[in-house]
Parts: sequence; structure tokens; C-alpha cells
Amino acid sequence: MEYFRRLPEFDYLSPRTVEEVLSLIKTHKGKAKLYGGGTIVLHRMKGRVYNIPYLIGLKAIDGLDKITIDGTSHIRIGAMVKHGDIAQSMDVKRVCPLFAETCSMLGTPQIRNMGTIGGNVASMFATAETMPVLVALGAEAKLVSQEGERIIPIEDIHRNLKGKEIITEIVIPLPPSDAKTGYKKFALRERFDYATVSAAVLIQMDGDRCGEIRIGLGGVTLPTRRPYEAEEALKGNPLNDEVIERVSTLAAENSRTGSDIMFSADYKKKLLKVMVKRAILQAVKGVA
Amino acid sequence: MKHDIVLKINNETHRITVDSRRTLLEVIREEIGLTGTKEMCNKGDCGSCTVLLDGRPVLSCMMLAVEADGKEILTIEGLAGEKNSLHPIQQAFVESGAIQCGYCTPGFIMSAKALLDKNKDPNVDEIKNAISNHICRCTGYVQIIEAIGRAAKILGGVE
Ligand SMILES: Cc1cc2nc3c(=O)[nH]c(=O)nc-3n(C[C@H](O)[C@H](O)[C@H](O)COP(=O)(O)OP(=O)(O)OC[C@H]3O[C@@H](n4cnc5c(N)ncnc54)[C@H](O)[C@@H]3O)c2cc1C
Ligand code: FES
Ligand code: FES
Repeated sequence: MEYFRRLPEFDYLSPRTVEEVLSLIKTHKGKAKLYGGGTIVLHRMKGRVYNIPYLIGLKAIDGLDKITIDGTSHIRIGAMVKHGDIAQSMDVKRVCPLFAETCSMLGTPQIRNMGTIGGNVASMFATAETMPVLVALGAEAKLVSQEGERIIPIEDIHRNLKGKEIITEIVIPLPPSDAKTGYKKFALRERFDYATVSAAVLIQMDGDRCGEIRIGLGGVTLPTRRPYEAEEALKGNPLNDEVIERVSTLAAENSRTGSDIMFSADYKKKLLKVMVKRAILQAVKGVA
Repeated sequence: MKHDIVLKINNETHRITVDSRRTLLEVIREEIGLTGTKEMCNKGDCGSCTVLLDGRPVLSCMMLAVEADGKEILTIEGLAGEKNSLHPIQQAFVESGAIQCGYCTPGFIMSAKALLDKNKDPNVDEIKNAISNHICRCTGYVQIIEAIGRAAKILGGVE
């Protein structure tokens, strides 16, 4: 990819309300892009992947950078909250330590001080690192357009998010107190590198059998982020080695991965199987 | 599109007009004339352009100047003491042999500063995490990690 040191010409617009954002999207239809932390947008502008006359900055909008706990039911994280703020939030650490830890392991201090959760989710990157855990936790995204608001399951974001919409918040149901969770990522260098593949699980036991289960995968194509068949294979079964082996094999086999400069698609599947297994083991036994 | 913005850099207020497309890095180096902050990759990978924005390390190449309107910025030039005496972190880098060509050094030092402001006695893992966005092609990191540990001791009055 050709890469230029200087940005092309564009206007940076700085609306103060979500309504203003929506009317700017309409006025500059097809010629504007939302700009959260900008870590992906600027990269693409310098690479001339985008050549967009208007960037709509979301920094000046009140309320999009807040984390709130909704009674005992949900955590609401505004789209403009940065990864570092989630990692350090006492509230998130208390009610959903898994997500705080995920954000503390994403990228580098600088990226965590700049990148937002909204940008991470909207990026549609297979490797967007908040996604596997958000999928496992059953999170939803609130999308707002001039037609109104809608809430959609996070794993369906790629089929839903339209150019005329803005994500205003990510809503995470608080994990039940008896839920067990696990998250494992494989990155060449544990700090800095994107996770090549990753897996997150949330399991609720029903006696000595698996009751509710949700699995989220990272590093796979967007439609295969949630391996429903693997989840079904686990439900109602005891969590023994044989079942865990079958489930992680299913999750890896039914997912789709692509080759990149480092790893073949096949090798990624092998890694993915190990990550799923380890995430389940971490959840049920607390082992790494 | 032009924007009138106010940047507080190293405790000095600058009222300037910038175009939308100017990065914070370009403005710090070319408009303000503070060339201590370095440009290398210009894509977020090397950390040499790191400055502190309201006390937190950010990559000035991956940020627009207009986004920094009204914020406090600290660059390497803001660290030196009276009569240009070295800041303890700079002193520790010199003493530990953590500088060779020196191109990466301002970035590393700004990240070290952000770390030591929050954590007076970091362990090696915490130091490695703090400098994980930085690349040095000369020293091999060992001396840099050592230097940050030493700076913590100097700042804590142990050395
Ligand atoms: C050096 C470097 C290392 C990185 N390492 C990692 C890593 O380890 N893991 C990882 O997951 N990511 C990584 N990233 C990618 C990126 O920084 C993060 O994914 C970050 O969270 C993106 O958020 P942003 O706010 O900067 O996105 P932006 O660049 O602002 O936006 C990204 C996309 O989302 C859209 N968008 C932004 N906000 C909204 C919204 N509220 N509603 C709708 N659409 C929106 C934009 O139009 C754009 O298409 C890295 C980036 C760099 C430069
Ligand atoms: S120049 Fe900014 S990160 Fe390399
Ligand atoms: S001292 Fe030369 S790149 Fe670090």
C-alpha cells in the first residue's frame, strides 16, 4: 500500500449533539465519515484508502464518553469511551472484570488513550479486540439514525450498521454472579500486536452440566464470530475433557479465517482451537 | 477548513490557526518550532512522536491538531529544568547508556514520564508495558528498561 506522510485535504467538523451529527451525515451524504479516536481513519486517509472531504468528529458531543451502571442490570459504555478509561474504571472492574482486563490488554498505552470502543466495534476488523468478549457477554449496540434508535446484538453489527447511523453506546448485561468467564488471545508479541486469533466464553452451569453458554471468536470472518454449533454441543453436557475437545474442534472448524503475512488460514484455525479450549478451561477451573 | 485553536504546550499558551488536515505532530514541529518530538513511521507503530496530552501519552502523528484544542501538552522540551539542566529521566538515560543515535529517545522519555507520574516504583513488566509502543533500533531495550528503573530511584530520592 502506498502511504503518504501528509493528509489529503478535508474539513474536520465538530458537531455538539447527536442530532447535528445525523444532519451532517445527511447533508454530506456519501462524502463524510465519522471520526472517533481517529486511529484507523487517519491511517486510511494517509494510505489514501479513504479520500473523504468531511470528517465528522465526535469528541465535542456531551455524554458519549460516559460509563454508567444501570442498577443491577447493565453497564452502558458511551461510544467515545477510550479503552484505557474502560480498563481503569473502578465500576467496570467491579462488575465486569473480564472486560476491564480485555481493554487493558489491547494495543499499547498510546492506543488505549486514543482509540474508542465505538471505533473498535465499527471498524469491522476481524481482529477488533473488544469484540470476542462483547459477544460472549451478550452485549448490544445502540444505533441512532434520523429514523430513530435501534438496539442490535453486537455479533450482528456487520449486517446492521448503516452509513447514516451512529453507534452511541454499547450496552453490556451484567454477568450473573454464578457465571464463569474466560478470554484467551494469541498475539505474536503479547503487548502491541493485534490478537491473531482469540476466544472468549461465558458459561453458566446447571448442576454439573453446562447450562447457558456464549462463545465469541476473534481473528475470524465477521459472520463466524459466534460459533452457535459449538455452543449447542456444550449445552446440557458435563464439562469434561472429551466435550471440551469436541467443542473447541467444532468452533475452529466452522469458523473462517484468512491468511496474512505471518500465518496461513489453516494454522490460525489450529491456534483458534487451542484458544477456545484454554478460554473454557480458564472459565471452569480458573486455570490459565 | 481553518480552525482557531489554543494549545498549551509546556505551560505556554499558543493561539494559532490550523488547517483541518494538520496533525498535532506537524504543528508542534513546524508551527511551534519544537523539534524535539520526532517523526519516524508516521503511522502509529514506532512511538517516536509521543507527547503527553493532559498527562497521558498519545501519538501526535495519529491525531489532528484541532483535536488538541484547549488541551495541555507536554513535549520533551518541557522536561528540562532551570538553565537546561537535565530532568532525572534524561539523566538516567544518559547514565545507563540508553541513548545511541537518540532519535527514539524523546518518545521513550515521554512514556517513561507518564509511567513514573502514576507509579513511583514500577517493576520490569510495568516498564515494558509502558514502552510497548516504542521502537529503538540501536540500544536493544535492555538499557532503556534499566534507565527507567534508575529514573524511578532518582525521583524517589534513593539514588
Ligand atoms: C499502532 C496501532 C496499534 C493498534 N493495535 C490494536 C490492537 O492491538 N487491537 C485492536 O483491536 N485495535 C488496534 N488498533 C486499531 C484501533 O486503534 C482500535 O481498533 C481503536 O479502538 C479504533 O477506534 P478509533 O476511535 O480510533 O476509531 P476511528 O479511526 O475513529 O474509527 C474507525 C471506524 O469506525 C467508524 N466509527 C468511529 N466511531 C463510530 C461511531 N460512534 N459510530 C459509528 N461508526 C463509528 C469510523 O467512521 C471508522 O470507519 C491499533 C491501531 C494502531 C494505529
Ligand atoms: S511517528 Fe508517530 S508513531 Fe511513529
Ligand atoms: S537510540 Fe537510535 S533508535 Fe533508539
